[in-house]
Amino acid sequence: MYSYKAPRKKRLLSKDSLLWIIFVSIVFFALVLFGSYLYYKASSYHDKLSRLESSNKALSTSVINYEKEMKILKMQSVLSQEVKSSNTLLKNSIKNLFDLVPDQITLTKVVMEKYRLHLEGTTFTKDSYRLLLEPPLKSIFNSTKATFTFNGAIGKYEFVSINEMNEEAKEGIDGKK
Amino acid sequence: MAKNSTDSTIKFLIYVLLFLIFILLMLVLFIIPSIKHYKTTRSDLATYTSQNKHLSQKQVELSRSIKAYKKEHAQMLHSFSADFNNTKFIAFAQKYFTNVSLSKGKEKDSQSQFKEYTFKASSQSKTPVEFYKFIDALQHYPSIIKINFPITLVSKGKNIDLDFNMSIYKAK
Repeated sequence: MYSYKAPRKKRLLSKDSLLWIIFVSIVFFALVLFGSYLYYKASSYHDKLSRLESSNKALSTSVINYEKEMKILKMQSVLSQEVKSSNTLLKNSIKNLFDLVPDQITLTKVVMEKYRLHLEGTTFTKDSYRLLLEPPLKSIFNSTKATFTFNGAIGKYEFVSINEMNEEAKEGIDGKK
Repeated sequence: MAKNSTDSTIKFLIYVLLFLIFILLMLVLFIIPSIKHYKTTRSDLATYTSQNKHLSQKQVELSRSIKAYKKEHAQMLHSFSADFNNTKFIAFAQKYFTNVSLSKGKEKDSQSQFKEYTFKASSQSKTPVEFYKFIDALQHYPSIIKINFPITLVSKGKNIDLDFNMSIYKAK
């Protein structure tokens, strides 16, 4: 066989196609590089995140414990103040009670309860009790009952006085606290 | 010649379309998730960092205030932590009363923050003055002691017999 034309070198890909492939490859690699860079950055943040997370957990526990401790300390302070004022109040109540008792009356037994007062004592006359001790007791307690027995040996009346508060007054006292 | 030019244009347009599809796929499947992941992580990091800073500050502040509070209320806190000593208390009470006795009451609640004791004593005074002095002195006693009702005062000759309950508060 003989050809009149000289043979031409034939390319596998045309120049345009090659240009396209190179261009697309460059874009592909650039995108992959960019995406990988972002992943790498994010994973480096992940290490920091896990360290911060454990540090935050430890700090939170520590803060909670400190807050609990502070709460307990404050509670103790409040309780201490309450105890002091309760003792002072109690002392003043006893003082006031003894201040109420006139010289004509001698107390032999006092039982102080939160809402009740039991008094036993002696008096020359029932009127001394009724006029001098009963009115102030009545102003404090809602119910005041007294029984008298004459003791000839000492020539005095022995009395037992029971004074009580009603539910409303009890609530008032508890409410003040 | 004109047909050849049209073929080239169509070919070019197909290439451009394929390229755009490729870019779109790359963006949707790879780049956008990467950016999202990066942004989320970065915002988490910022949140955690600010939380860390806030918690550290709070911890330092609390630690400082606890130290200051403990220093300020040292005596009161010592009273709460001190063990109640019966013998010492009886010795203290004997400054004001005679025939002092102290018995431990029933523990109502083992979880309770305080213990109950029953106190019995006699005063050699005909008035309860010694009792008032005792209550005043109790405010400075190295335990937190509350006097409870009922309080019984009975006159016995020249003395007053005294009987009352008290609660001793102690930190667990």
